[in-house]
Amino acid sequence: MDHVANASVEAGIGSTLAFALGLITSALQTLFVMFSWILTTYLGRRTIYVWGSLINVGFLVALGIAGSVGRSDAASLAQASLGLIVSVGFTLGPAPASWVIIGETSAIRLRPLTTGIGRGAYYVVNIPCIFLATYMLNPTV
Amino acid sequence: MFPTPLAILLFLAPESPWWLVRKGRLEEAAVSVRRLGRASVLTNPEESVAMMRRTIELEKNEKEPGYLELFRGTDTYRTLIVCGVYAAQNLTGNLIANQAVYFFIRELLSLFDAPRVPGGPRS
Repeated sequence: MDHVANASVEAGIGSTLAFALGLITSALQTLFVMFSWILTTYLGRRTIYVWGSLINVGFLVALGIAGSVGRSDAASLAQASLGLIVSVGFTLGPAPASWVIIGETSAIRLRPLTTGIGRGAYYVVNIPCIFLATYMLNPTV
Repeated sequence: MFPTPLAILLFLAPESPWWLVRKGRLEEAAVSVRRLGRASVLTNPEESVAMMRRTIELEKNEKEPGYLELFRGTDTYRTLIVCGVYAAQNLTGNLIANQAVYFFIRELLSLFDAPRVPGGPRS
């Protein structure tokens, strides 16, 4: 919720609206996680993971392009829409499937260690991502 | 915000059958298995509990796993897959999903409220 507070200060709008937007996003993400339960009855986890990741990466590249073509109303709307699509797409496909893969791939005896090492790998990629995102998301930095 | 409903759900959820078997509470474990499993698949909870008991006994005879074992034989592939999938969460929208609110406020509201947004479309 710290992003909500941060964003509302920057946009100069009431924190109520910011909170509502945050709540709507969370609600949509919750719904799409539930849709992923339905999806698993029709598709295998490999299909969901591979195609979900590819599709989301496609949308992320489109989002990057929309953010790089200069400032216009169309670019802003495209970025906002793609942001929403990416965030719900992530909770529908790659996110739940990745947790299943992480939980099921390792040998039972080694599972706590494998998961620990995996989390380490996550942070190794996470730290530069967050670092770069600070510059991409904050026009004032 | 998220931990609150989770805490309530966890309070109402049945106890882990594995944990109950480890503590020797086999009847309660069978009740848990019956509650957690799907009715169409579950025929005999007692059998599942016996299976858990056997697995736990086997585990007791095994020696403690070490980090070197993660990179031996087929476990190498398992470790690499888990590391890759975990790390790839960052590359498939993890950050956008967590910061979606920021996008909407920055991009959408700037359309209606341009002068007040530094870096917005019309500023």
